[in-house]
Amino acid sequence: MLTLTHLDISIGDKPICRDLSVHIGQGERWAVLGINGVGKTTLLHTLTGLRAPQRGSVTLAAVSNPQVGAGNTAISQLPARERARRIGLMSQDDDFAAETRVLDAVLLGRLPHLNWWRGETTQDLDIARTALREVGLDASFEPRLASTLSGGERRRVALATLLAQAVPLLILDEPTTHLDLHQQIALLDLLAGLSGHTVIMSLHDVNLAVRYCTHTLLIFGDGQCCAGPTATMLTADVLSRLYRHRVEALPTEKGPVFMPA
Amino acid sequence: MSTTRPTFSVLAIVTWLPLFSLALALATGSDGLSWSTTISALTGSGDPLQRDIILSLRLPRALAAFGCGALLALAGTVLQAILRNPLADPFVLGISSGSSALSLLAMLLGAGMLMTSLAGIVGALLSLAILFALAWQGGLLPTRLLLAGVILSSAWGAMITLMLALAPDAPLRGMVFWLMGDLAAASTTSALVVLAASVIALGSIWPLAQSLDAVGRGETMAASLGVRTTMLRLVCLLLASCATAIVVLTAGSIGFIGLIVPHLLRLAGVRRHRWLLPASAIGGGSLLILADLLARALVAPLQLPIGALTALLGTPLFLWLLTRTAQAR
Repeated sequence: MLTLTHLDISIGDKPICRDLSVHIGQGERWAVLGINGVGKTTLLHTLTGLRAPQRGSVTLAAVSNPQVGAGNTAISQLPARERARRIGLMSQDDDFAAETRVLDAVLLGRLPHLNWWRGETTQDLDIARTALREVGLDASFEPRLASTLSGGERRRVALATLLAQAVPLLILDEPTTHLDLHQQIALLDLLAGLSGHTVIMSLHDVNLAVRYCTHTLLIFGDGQCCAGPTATMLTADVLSRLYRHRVEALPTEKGPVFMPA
Repeated sequence: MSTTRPTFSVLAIVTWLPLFSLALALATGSDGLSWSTTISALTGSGDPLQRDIILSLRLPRALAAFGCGALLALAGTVLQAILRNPLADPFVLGISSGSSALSLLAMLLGAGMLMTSLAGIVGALLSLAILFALAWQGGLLPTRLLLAGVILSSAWGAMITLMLALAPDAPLRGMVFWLMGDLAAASTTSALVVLAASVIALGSIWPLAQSLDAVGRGETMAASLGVRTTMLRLVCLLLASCATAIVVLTAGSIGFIGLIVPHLLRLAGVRRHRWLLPASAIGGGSLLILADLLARALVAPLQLPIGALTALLGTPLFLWLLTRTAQAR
């Protein structure tokens, strides 16, 4: 789906990753883990194609979509609109104008699929409504103003916008922030239920990563990154080094649970 | 598509307001309101002098007012969107004050119409160039742009004050009136120019309506939806500057329309730019016709500065809508 080749990313002179080469397969769910300020958002923005890496390339595999064309394409070569039909981002700082209505906010996800001369069709509207229902917001939310929503409800509207974008590759920057326990699980269940879609998300809860993500990418902060299947990647030792805080693994019937010491 | 469209009453007002205000502007003269002479003049019968007054004085003036109002409101809507700031309007960025300052300088030096207009254009372009130089940092960041604009605008404002303080008495009255906005000089040609400009401005910005909606969700969000944000800002800024410069050259500086019209419409529930852009153009045009009508009819035969009237007319309307929506929540 997405291939990172010899990727160097840094902000100023702070390296985030050096010579990172990873293949992200279709249908995989990846967790990006690391401490605050280590560069998770910058990495995710690079994978979305919003910023260029210092070196190396990010290429998108061909999708069975005749409109897009065949062969692997570097995302930097894709026109912005076409890229937005294939990669979507749920940003950490999605701030609606206070006067936006919820349904309009979600409809914005259809933007890359529209032409300027024609507005949304009833089909686009159906897609937006379906997305709202999927995140558990019923019809009474549709005319609500964004300023009347709680933090968690805003996050769910942001997720609905991403779902309405209908992209095969979903990138989510800390999607579980502001969500209560039930909503966190509902969101991750929803993402896990999207068959054929590839998901990359940054998380702060290691145990959610273990439970929901097939693969994990760790950012250590000195330019070193590790990537691989979650089950083999995540051990108490590695996590202790990652978070610079001792982490213990408690064995349970459902696998290990990680606890900060 | 229930929630995304403006309500029927808003649509009805936006459709009928320009016709109503145009009719009122044609029928009202310094001797009061007269429908019968207007109708007979328009149908070709009646007193030729009355006909001449209505068709070659009131009509061009009303049309010029409509065009100017439409351009100002469009510029305001677009700037509020790309700067993500509800206080943005064509006058905040200093483009119009640059245009005004150089035009005034030309007037002070005794230049003719043509040179004054040229100076106005140079002033607008110069302001835009300075703005870019101050705000460009690998892209146009809204806050930087806004700050640079505010500073530029106060610098031009200081220059204008200095010129007014130093000007001899003879041209001073004309300069002050021009500064506050004056549509008395509008001719058929200038009316057609501003009308054409407003149609072109709306036609070129309307295709970007969806992108303007997206920019309201922030830089990252818009970019991830495929909007080229820096390009969008450049195009919009250029467009808003040209629109403002044309208005300043036709009618001097008329404040408040660009700020208030998009707000009024948003408060009335028109939120998406696909509707907001044309509604702003029509609403701004109509409001300026009405303001100009009051300016020349309120204490006729004296003419009042239209800029002061736009503010007087807009403020209570705005406050009423603001309190009404606050109660509704």
